[in-house]
Amino acid sequence: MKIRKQSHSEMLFNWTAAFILLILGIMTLYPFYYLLVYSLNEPLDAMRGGLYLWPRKFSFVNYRMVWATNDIAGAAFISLCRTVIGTVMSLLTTSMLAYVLSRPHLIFRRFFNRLFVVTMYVSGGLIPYYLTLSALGFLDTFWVYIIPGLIGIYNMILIRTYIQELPSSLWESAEVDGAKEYTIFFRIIFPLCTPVLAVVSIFTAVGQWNSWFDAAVFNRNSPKLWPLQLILMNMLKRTSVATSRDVPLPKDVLVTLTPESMRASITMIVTIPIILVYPFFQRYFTQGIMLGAIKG
Amino acid sequence: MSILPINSNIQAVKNKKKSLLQKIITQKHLLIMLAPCLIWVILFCYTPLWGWYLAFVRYRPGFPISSAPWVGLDNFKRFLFQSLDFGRVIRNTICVNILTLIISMPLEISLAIVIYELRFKVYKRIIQTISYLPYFISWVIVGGIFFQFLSMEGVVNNVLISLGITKEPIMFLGMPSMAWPILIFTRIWKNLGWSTIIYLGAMGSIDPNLYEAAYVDGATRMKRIWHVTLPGLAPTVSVLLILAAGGLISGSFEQVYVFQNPANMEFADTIDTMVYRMGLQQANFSYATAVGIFNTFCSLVLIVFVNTIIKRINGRSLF
Repeated sequence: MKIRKQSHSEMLFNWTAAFILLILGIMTLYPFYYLLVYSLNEPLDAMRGGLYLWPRKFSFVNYRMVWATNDIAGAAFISLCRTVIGTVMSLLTTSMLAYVLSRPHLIFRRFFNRLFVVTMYVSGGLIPYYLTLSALGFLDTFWVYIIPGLIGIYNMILIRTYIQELPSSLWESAEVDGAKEYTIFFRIIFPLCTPVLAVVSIFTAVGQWNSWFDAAVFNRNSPKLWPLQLILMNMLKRTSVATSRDVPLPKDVLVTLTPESMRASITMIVTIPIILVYPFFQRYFTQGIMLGAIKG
Repeated sequence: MSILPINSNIQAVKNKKKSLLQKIITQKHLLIMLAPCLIWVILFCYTPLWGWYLAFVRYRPGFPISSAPWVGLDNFKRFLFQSLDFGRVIRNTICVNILTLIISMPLEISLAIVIYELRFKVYKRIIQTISYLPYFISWVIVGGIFFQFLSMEGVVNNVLISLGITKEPIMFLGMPSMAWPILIFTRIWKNLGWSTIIYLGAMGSIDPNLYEAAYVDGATRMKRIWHVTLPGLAPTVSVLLILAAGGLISGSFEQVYVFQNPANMEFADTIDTMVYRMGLQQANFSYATAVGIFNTFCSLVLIVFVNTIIKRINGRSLF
C-alpha cells in the first residue's frame, strides 16, 4: 500500500473520518467538562439552566461546602489506602499463586488449577457471601476491602500464561545453584514478569479506586471507612429523583446549596484523580486487552 | 558445564519414582507458597457455597440457621411462579442486553473502520486515547455525570427546549419509559471507544495482500472496506456474539443500581439489583439466596452451552 494517490474521494473520506472522530472525542469529553462548569458555577444560578461552555457566575462555594459537610479528606484517604495496599497485596499473592500453579511438577497440579478457576463461574451469591464474611469477622473493618478480593483469578491466568512462556533454562540454572522456589520466584521470575504485572496492577488499582459496593454492604455502619465512591453513591441515591425542584435544601448550611451542585462537585472530586493519572498509564490500559485477547 | 544438565535429568527421573510423601517434602517450598492461597480460596470462595442451604429453609435473621424450618423448593417456586418479579427482572435484563448489543455492535464496527482507515496518525491516537477514558471510570461517576446532564435544567433539556422539541423540561431519570434508553445509551457511551480495540486488532490481522489485490483491481476505498475488511471481521463478530449470548442474563449491577429509583423501578430492575434489595435491604435472606442460585445456575448453563458451540466451530474450547 505504498503507492497512494490522493484523489478527491480519498480526501473527502479522510476528512469525513476525521470529523466523525472529532464528534466522538467531543461526546466523550463534553459530559465531564459540563460537570466541571456546573460545579464551578454559583449553585442557585446553575438551577436556572442554560449553562453550556463556561460558568456564568464563577464560584468555589460548592467545593468548599462539599469539603466542609462531608469527610472528603477521610474518604479520599480510605480510597487511596485501599488502592495502594489492595493493589500491592493482590499483586504479590496473585503472582505467587500463578507461579506455583505454573510449575509443571507440582503435585495435583490439575486439581489445584481447577479448584481456583472454577470459582470464576460458581459463587455462593451475595447473601451467603455476606454471612460468611460476617462469620469471619470482616464486617466493619478496613480489611474487607483487601482480603476477600485478594486473588484475581483472571489475572492469575494471565500471569501464569506469561510465566509458562518464559524459557525453562531460567529454572534449570537456578536449581543448579541451589536456589529455593521462593527465591527463584521473588528474585528471578517476579522481576521478569514486569510487563504483565504492570497491566494487572493497573487494572486492579482502577478496580479498587472505583469500588463502593463492598463498602456499602459490609461496612454499612462504619462511615469512617467509606471510600470516595460511596460518598458519591450515597449522594446520588439521596437525591435520586431530585431532578424535580421541590427537593428540600440542606438547612444546616448557611450558603444556599443545591443537591445538584454538591453532586456535581463530588463527582468531579472523584473523577479528577483518574483523569490526572490516566494519560501516564493509558498505554498499559490498552496492552491489557491485548493480553486478554491472546488468552482467549 | 556440560555435566550439569545431565545431573538434573537424573534428578527428574528420580523424582518420578518418589512416593507422594517424598514429593511433598521436595516441593515443600512450593506448597508453603500455595498454602495461603488455598486457605483464601476455601474461606472466601467455597465456604459461601454452604450458604445455599439458606435457599431451602425459611431463615429469619437473628435466629439460628439450624432452627429454620425446611421448605424445600418453596423459595424457588415463589420467585418463578408466584411473584411478579420474575417476568419483570428477566425481561429487563435480557431486553437491555440484546438492545445494547444490536445498537452498539454496528457502531463499534463502523467506528473501528473509521479509525483504521484514517491517515492522520497523531490526531487518531489522541482521539483514541480520549475515547478509552470512560471505560475506566466507575458507574457511580457516570451516574453523577448523567444525572446532571439529564436533569431538569441540564444540557439535554436546555437544547430540547431551545429547539422547540418540548415546552416543559422532561424528567428523564424519573420516567419508566426512559429507563431502557438511558441504560442502553450510557452503556454504549462508556464502552464504545474501548470496544473498538478488539476490532482494530482483528483488522490488523487481515492479510494485506487482499487489500493490494483489491487496489490493483481498481476497487475504491468503500469497496475495499465492504469486500475485504467486513468479511475479515466476521470471525471476530461471531465469537463476540456467542460470548454475548453467554452473558445474556448477567446484568451490570452497578449501572442498573445507579440509575434505578422508585419511579422507574418497573423497567430498571434486574436480577442482581433485586437480590440486593430483597436480601440486604429487606433481610429476606432465603428468598434472595434462591434467586441468586437461580441466576448462577442459568449463567452456568449458558456458558457451558456457548463453550460447546465455540468448541464445534473453532475446534478448541475457551476454557
